Amino acid sequence: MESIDLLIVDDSAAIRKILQRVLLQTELPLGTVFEAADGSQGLDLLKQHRVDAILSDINMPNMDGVEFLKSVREIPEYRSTPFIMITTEGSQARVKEVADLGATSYVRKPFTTDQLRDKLTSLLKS
Amino acid sequence: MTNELANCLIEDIVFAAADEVFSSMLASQIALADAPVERDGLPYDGVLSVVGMTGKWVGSGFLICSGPTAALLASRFLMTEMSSVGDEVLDAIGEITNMIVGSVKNGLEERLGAMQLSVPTVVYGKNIRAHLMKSQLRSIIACRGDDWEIVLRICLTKA
Repeated sequence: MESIDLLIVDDSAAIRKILQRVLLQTELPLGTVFEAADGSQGLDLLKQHRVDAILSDINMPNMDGVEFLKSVREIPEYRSTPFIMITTEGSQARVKEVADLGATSYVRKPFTTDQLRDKLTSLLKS
Repeated sequence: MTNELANCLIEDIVFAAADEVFSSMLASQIALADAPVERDGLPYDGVLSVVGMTGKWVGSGFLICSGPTAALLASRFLMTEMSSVGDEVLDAIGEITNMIVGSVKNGLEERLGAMQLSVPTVVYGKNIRAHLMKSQLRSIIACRGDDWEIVLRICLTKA
C-alpha cells in the first residue's frame, strides 16, 4: 500500500496534536501529515502539496470548515478525496449539510482515541 | 417552562457534557462538587476560558480553574507532561471548553433553537474577576476530579 499524505485543518493546536497521535496509532502507511489552522491556510497548502485525505474542523476563524469543504470540492483533483469533518457540531441539520456538500464522513468531538482510530482506519484503508 | 426548571435542566446538560468530555478525552472521572455560587464573582488567580453562543438565545459558556489544574488537565488531554501554564496549556483548555460548550449547545438546541459558537478565548492571570450581565437562563456547577476542581457556567438570554 502506498503511503498516505494527509491534511489536518483545525484552529486548535491541541486537537491537531491529538489527531497526529491517533493517526500514528492507525498503523496506516502515513506519509506527510500537513497542518493548517484554518480553511484559508488549508487551501494554500493544497496549492503546494497533493494530499490523499483531509480532516477538518468546522468552527474556525478566517475560513470555516464548511467554506473550506466547498472550496476543496471545486478543485478538480479533490472532487472525491476523502474529507472527514471532526467537530463539536452535532445537529442532524449540520451533518446533512456537510454531507450534501461532499464530506465523506463526520466525527463528533469529544471522541475516544479508539473510536477515532477505528473510524480513520476504516475510511482511509478503503 | 419556568426559568427555575430550565436552569435545573441546563445543569444536567452541562454536567453530562463535561462528563462526556472528561471521560472520553481526558480519561478522567468527574463528580459534582459543592455549589460554587458563594465564590461566584470573587477575584481569583487562574484561568478563565470563554466560548460565546449566539442564535435565538445569546450568551456564553465558561470554564474556570486554577493554573495548576489547567496544566494538569492539559497534560491529560495531550498525554504530555505540562508543568506550567503556557500557550499549549491555554490552547488545550480552550479546546476542552469548546467541546463542553459544544455539547451543551447540541443539548439545548431542541428547546432553544439553532445556535452557533464562537472560537474560544482563554485568559490567564491574577486577580481575575468575571462580571456577567443579567441572563434569563443560567447554570453554575463545580466538577471535581481526583485532586482538582473546575467551575462551569452557562449564561443565556433571549436575543
